[in-house]
Amino acid sequence: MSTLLDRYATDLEKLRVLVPYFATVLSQVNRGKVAKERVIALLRREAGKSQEAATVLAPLLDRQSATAAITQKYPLIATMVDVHHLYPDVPLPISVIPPKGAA
Amino acid sequence: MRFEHRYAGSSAVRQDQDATGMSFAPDTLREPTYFRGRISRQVEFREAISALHDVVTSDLRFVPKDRTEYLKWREQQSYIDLAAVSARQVQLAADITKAQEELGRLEHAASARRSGFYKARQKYFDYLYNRDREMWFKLDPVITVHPDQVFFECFSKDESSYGRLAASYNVFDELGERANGTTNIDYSEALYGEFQKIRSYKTTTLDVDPGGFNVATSMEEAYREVKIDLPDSWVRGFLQVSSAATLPANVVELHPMDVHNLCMVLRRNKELFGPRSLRFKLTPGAPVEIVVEPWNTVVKCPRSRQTDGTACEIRVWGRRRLFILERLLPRAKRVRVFLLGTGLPTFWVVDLGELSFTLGLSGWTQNNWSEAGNFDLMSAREEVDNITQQRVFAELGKVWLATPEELAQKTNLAVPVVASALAGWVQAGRAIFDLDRGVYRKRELTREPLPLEKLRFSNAREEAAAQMLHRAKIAVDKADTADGGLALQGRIHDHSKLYGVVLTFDADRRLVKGECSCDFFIRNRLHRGPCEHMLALRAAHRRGVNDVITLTIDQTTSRGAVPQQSTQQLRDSFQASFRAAVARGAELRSAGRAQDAITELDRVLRLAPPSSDEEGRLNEVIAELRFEAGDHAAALQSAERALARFPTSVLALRIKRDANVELDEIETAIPVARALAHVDNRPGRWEELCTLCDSIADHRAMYQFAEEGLRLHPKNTALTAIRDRARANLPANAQLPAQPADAAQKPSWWRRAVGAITGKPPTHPPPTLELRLDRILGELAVGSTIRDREAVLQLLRVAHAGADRDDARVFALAAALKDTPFISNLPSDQDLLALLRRALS
Repeated sequence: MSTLLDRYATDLEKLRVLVPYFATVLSQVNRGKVAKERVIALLRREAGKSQEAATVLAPLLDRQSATAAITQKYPLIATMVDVHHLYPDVPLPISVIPPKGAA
Repeated sequence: MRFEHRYAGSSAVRQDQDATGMSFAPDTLREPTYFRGRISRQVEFREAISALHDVVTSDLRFVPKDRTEYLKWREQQSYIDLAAVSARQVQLAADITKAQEELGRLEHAASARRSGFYKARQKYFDYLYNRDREMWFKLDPVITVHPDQVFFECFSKDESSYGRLAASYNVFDELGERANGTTNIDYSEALYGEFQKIRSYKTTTLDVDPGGFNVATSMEEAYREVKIDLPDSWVRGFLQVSSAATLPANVVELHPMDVHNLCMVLRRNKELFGPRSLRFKLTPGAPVEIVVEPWNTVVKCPRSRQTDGTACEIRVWGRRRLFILERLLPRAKRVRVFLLGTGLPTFWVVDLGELSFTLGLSGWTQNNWSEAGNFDLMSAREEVDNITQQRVFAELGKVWLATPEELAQKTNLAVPVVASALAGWVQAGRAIFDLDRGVYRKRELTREPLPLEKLRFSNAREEAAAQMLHRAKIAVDKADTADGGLALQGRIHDHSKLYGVVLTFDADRRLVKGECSCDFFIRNRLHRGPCEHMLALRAAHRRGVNDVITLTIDQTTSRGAVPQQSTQQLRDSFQASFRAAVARGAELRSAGRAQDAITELDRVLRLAPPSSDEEGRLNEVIAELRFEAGDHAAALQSAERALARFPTSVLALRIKRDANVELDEIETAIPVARALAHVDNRPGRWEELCTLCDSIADHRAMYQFAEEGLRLHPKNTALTAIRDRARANLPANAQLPAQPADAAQKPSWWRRAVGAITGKPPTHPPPTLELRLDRILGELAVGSTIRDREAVLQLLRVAHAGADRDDARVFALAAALKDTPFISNLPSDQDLLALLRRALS
């Protein structure tokens, strides 16, 4: 079913409806690797499109980034960092700390 | 325990294009309880009720692999293998191959011919399997309608998991008629399949059908009677887990992803050895750390906090039951974990918004001896009189749910009294404690009150242990948690008797070894489970009870029970340490460290009751070991000490004689050898005596002793030859020596005549201990494997000395034999006791 995501999740309203589905896919324990990869790729793409989309997806990104699976944790945090840079107003638990000695 | 339900029809789920209607058939024998509502959060409800189903079907008990098919094949194959191996000629091998090919073809043809039968049989098995799945449900779920919510409860087949799904009325769009109360609902495997079809775009109604209560009595055939026979342990497990909810707990609030991470670690790894526990490291207000053993993987929970309780470390087992929560994680807002303590039940309350799912897990998955430590969950907490209990319950019945404080206000009773009375009702299965809301709720688990007195404890020992916890003094002397396990040592002073208890648990807190000085343990060891003192000691350790017991003897006690008991105590503890020392000694000897083995036994000798039989027997053993080690002077001393207690000990006399010979004290050795020949009256002993005399060329004595031996063993050819040789060595004119005054008298002519007729020797002194022990080991050697005969003999000697009556000796010897690692494949208890009785009689 996740193969249809690219065709279906095209506007904000549909994205909003799909959030529980994304949570279900990403919360599966040690299963559904391919579906998870597709969902994560979609999140990454859609979150960067508009501030509204980023606002809709932000709680999901925040929640799922607590996973211990590195293959999921890394792209979710990367997405959050991108969103933070693009739309600083979207509430996310991201704070960028400049490396020491950079100043 | 038998439960009877009568349902009006069956529960059913009606599906159409845009609606799902769930109609549950309630138990019409119970008070009318019904409910009707339209669910607005369909997906959450679907996931939660499916998780509840997972609780019911959860069975994580170990099922051994069925190897009958393989063994059958192996047996056939072994003949084929054997034939192939033994085929010596090429021609024969070729013939066999040919025959096997032929056989293979025939079997293939037979299998093809029977394939229809096999398919049909498989189909039948599948049918039976599916039909049996209906039987998985032990007790139909209980549904309770309350003023603020409706909740379902169930308990798993393996008697370890409790599930409760509570739906507040905010979950429902439209609420129809309802009547508060509790009822069982007809529930079947097919319903689960229907639940999976619930969708968010379909309106879903939940209906506990009131129709069944209105059906006229003339329509009896419309009812379906269900009778379920439940084991007591199942009901007890249910009540134990729900009673545990009322205990104070450490509360941890976990982020749903933390539970996800925990499940992920467990899914990705399979434990091949223990310990199989989760170790919660708690610090109030700080993030929680969970260590997953045995890999010691740390699951850090930075978004979680301990909200209630103190800093501590708690271990819980049976963690694979947490997979039940997986379905709930996508919708979960938070998960609160109520940790009661190590090895005690835990509760996982998943917050799904308006729905709440509580998963109660018993301390371990299997209700075995590990679990036996939790018997006191069901014991009465505080004494509350019956009238007060009834008042509190009646007040709760009016409002259906209340906190203890509210009820205390209404009944004008103190809060602890009300809380205690409510805990009693929870234990009786007539109320529950709702961990989510922190209130007590009225919920009658069954139509008729449960026989609590019968259910409270699984056996008399648990009951005695629970009483002992209140009454007796319990001292936990040692609690050693080295190497991951737990070694407990303690004393229990009860009814003016003192019991010494030693318990060893492995890393998973399973009882692996235990000892107690009580009668139950001596008779049964651990074959019938731990004794009441072991249970009490374990519970006391968990509760942190540690009384001071001073070993003063109460002189006022009648009949002097205490002094007698303390002597017995001394003996028992000595026997235990002696057995351990012999075991260690044997290991050291086999490692070539004879001296260390002697030191070990010397240490035990100091513990022996002074001037006792045990001390005497132990000296014999030490003398023998020293002799073998080549320390003849010390062996002589030990043998003399042993002889002071047992002047006729064959072993001690032999050692004394041989030690004297080794020390070149032949003249001293001769009287000892004579005493030995008298005690152990065998021709060989007399020959040895004569040989000794011969070695110092004392032919007179040699002649005398040969004569003396011949009186007891007339016509013995070896002794006759010795006598003749001695006479030949004496001067020809020398007067033959007379028999000493204390020489053995020749048996009377009558006894000799009887001996000649019956074939038995004319004198037959009672067999010595050595002979008896020899006989026992001889009989045991037939069926059992004796790894170290010497060590077993040592054990038996001292065990024999540890009792003063024949009966007690039999039990002491049996205990020693069962306890030692040097002998295996012992006969059954009854056979062993019969053997020992025969040998000692």
